[in-house]
Amino acid sequence: MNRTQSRHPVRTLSRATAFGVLAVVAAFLFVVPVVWVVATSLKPDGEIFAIPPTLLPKEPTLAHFVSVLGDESILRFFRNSLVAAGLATGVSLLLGVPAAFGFARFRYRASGLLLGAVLVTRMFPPVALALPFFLQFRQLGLLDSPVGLAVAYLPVVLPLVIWMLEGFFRELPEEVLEAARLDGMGSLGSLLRIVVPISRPSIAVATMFGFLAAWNEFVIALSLTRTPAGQTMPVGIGGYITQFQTLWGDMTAASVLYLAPVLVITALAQRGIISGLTAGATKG
Amino acid sequence: MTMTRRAARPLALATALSAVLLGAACAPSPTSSDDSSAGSGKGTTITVGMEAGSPHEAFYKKAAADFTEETGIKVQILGVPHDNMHQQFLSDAIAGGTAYDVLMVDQPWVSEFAANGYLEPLDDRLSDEDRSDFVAGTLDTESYDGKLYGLPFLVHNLVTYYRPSMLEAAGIDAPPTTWEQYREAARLTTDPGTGTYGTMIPGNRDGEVATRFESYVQQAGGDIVDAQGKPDIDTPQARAALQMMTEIQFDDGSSPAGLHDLSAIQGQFLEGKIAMVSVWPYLWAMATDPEQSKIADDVAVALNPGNPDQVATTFSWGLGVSAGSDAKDAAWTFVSWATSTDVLTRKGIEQLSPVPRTSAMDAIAQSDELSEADRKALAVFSDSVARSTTMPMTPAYSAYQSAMSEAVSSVMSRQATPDQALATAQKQMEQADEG
Amino acid sequence: MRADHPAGAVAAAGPAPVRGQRAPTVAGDRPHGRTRGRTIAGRRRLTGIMMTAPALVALAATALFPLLWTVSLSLQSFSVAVGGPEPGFVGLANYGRVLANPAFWTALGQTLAYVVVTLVVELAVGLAVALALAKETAGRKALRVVVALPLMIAPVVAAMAWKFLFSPGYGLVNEGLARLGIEGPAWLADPWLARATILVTNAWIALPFVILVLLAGLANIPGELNEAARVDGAGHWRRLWHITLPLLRPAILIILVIRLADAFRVFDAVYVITGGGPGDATEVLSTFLYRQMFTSADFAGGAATSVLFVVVIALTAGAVFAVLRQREDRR
Repeated sequence: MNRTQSRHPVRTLSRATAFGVLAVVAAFLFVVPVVWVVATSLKPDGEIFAIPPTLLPKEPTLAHFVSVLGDESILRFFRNSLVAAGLATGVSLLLGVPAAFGFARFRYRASGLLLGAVLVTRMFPPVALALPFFLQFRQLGLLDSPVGLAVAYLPVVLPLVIWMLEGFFRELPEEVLEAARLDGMGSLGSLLRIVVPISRPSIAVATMFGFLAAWNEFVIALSLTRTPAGQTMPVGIGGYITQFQTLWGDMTAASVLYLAPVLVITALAQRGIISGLTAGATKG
Repeated sequence: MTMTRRAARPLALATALSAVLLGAACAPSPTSSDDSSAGSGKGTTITVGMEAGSPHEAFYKKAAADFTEETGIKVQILGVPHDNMHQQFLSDAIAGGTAYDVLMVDQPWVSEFAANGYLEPLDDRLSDEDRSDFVAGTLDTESYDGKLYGLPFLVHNLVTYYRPSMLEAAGIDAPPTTWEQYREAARLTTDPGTGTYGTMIPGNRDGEVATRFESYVQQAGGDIVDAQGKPDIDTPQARAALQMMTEIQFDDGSSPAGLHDLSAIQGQFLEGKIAMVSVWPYLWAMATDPEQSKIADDVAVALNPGNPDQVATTFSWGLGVSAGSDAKDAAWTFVSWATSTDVLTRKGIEQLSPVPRTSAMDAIAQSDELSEADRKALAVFSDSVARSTTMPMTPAYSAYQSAMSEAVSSVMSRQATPDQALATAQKQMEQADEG
Repeated sequence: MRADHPAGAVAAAGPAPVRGQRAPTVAGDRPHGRTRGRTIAGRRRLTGIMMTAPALVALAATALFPLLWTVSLSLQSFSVAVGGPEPGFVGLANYGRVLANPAFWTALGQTLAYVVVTLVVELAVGLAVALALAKETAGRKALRVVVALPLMIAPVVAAMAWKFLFSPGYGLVNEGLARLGIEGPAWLADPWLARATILVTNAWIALPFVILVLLAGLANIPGELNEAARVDGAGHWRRLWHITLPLLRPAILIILVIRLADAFRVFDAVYVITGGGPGDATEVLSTFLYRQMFTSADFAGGAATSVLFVVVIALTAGAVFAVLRQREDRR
């Protein structure tokens, strides 16, 4: 009876309408600023400050893209960002997945404390980290290199990955692990063959946000790099905001290029989440 | 150049602690390092730090090839976003200052960098002939405690841009020369029905607002420091400035609602919505370019209205030699080339901006590449600089700016009365002066 | 009736019980069977150490130095001048100076208020959206892509976009209101509206994180739990309160702790949109710290502020954590 009640056509209909209205409003809020960025990148300079404002360009132009791509440094910024963020994320997953599993399921005396300490490394304000990192990297010869940046991003990405996964791993049903143990798997084996596959949605989310934290980082990148050989996209985009004017067109055009890898990684992560949802739905 | 002692001490302690905790193998070795890869000049390559995205960076990047051809010295120009130049230069100087040989320095930092020993004194290197060619007062903008620390390539101040058609339509035949006329003209050219306003009063909390406020105070015959150079902002002149601003903004409503920043002021003026605004000389090239401006054939420049002084605080951008550079001679060669008559003449013509050398201004005035209107505008820019004074040369100036912008923004958002805001600012500035 | 007790519902539903999950804690901390328990517990501890050690070493190697450097600097006098006075130990003098500065307390108070409001708003909105999107339909699939959109834009650019959208004259927010016949205010000229603008901007930037973590959490909830409760006659709200929310607690905890640290450090949006203004209405700890270090070049004071900063965040996060985990362990 309950089943039929909640599937009652009238209720479903009104709920669908409410959902539709809400969805449109929410989607609008989520979409507008992004559309604004894309639209501004296509507007000629004279149109950006138009009064009354218009969202879409009246005479679209690719001039800003030509100008941004005409500066070959943008491709180097792009490559450096990919290397730094990709490397930091990859290493963080490699170290963070077992660590999160260890913290969640194999506690030892100091593990709670150490888990807290892991998070504290992420609480330091980035502006305070810039100077000591700079002094240290200068001695180690790691300045102005995307690989060096990846090293500096470990304390940004790794705690995030550990924290997100630890929470999820704690919730895994013990029976699953018990079954693995009965099948003769060691702890590493059960991690790789059981835990990682069934935690795909969580790992996808952790990967995405770990990558984004490094991809978007600005203050540390600014302090540890000084030529296009090491500088990243956020630093490059910062160059469009000058003392006397903001080059809105070029800045938004660079931002549109900037979102391509994010689009890819988000799509992959969403696939992970959705496959997880589907798995959850069919589990029973 | 060794790791400076100042940085070494906390470094040593932290290193020792990490060594204990990690085992010495993982800890960075505290060698006195001479390992800067980017900045070691060797007399052939120098590194110049400039504001990323600025017209100056664009100009010098293009012109640097000529310099290399003339001198054999290679130049690497590194762009740093403006908001972070101060931080970047400071970090580098603390670590020994080897990353840059030449620094592009915004005037508020000159005294701070000079007082801390980051910049090389240049008095012995500058010839008397060159010294006398710089427009009177412009070298002061690069001096601290009686010594010269840089050469300016741009000395400018705010001037009034206006739309002659809007003033004419309101029956006004000349741009205002006093605050009273300014207020009246702003009132007469305001028409909220069509969304046009007489002017825009600044109020956003940023450095730009502070320079505008300081200019108003000087127009009222005052300054932000007293004769001894001590902070002095709680004055009748400062009060008059805030009164003028609030009257136009709130009593007359001849400035659109909001706390405006430079981006908004310039954007709305180029959109044709504002009759008169105060902006820097660089706007001229944009305002007369139909691609970027809807008022390209309806714009003119004048001195700022005064109360009674038609002035505005002058600010310079200059080039200095880093004290940590190991290629100081080459660095100086670049600085003197970049501020030479020929190069500054080219820069002035290309960017329609005023330059601080008499010989270069003369050459620009005679150039046939400029239109009559360009020439007139450049004359106004020069006149405006010549009759004005500069900011107080103190290492605490950045903190003064911060205090002034907070005061203006709290008055323009009606959170504080002028009296309260100025008293607070005075206290903050005194603290900065002592600290 | 039975839906009031999710565990009972689970037992009825069959596999995937939720209770057994704290077994490792039990085994690790309080071994029942003495001798056998000890060897198993010992092996589990060793496994735990081996699994966590590489990450801990990596973090120590990269993060320890800057942290210790900052702590050490906060206890010294520090001159930025070449050939200036030698640094010397000054005890807690730098802390005293920061604590005596009224601007620090203004910034701290506003930061705390901001953190509380922003977390409540983000969790409430995020939960509503995540629940709406949890089920598998074509429209929701598309919407799930839409809610991830804010991730695509660099935070600084997002802040500049919102500033532009909220500006009077050429901003689309007021233009939209005008189309509805409402005259929009000058958002950034009013202290409360400026605070609201900052809140909206940051919530917009952070919501994808909140929503996607909650979605991942929802994905981990076995579908049969809700089904069983529904069979037992539990309504929507009851199921939400008694099944979904308790099972989402780890996801919510992750969000709270991570967003807490991020919200405390809010900087980009404030710096870009208001610069801390109007007046000092949106001054937060990060902007205070930025000014202290890079406007006033007071690095020792900045180090002291940073340490205070971390202590405040760690205490708050620790408290949140203790409350939520304890309740979870009691469950």
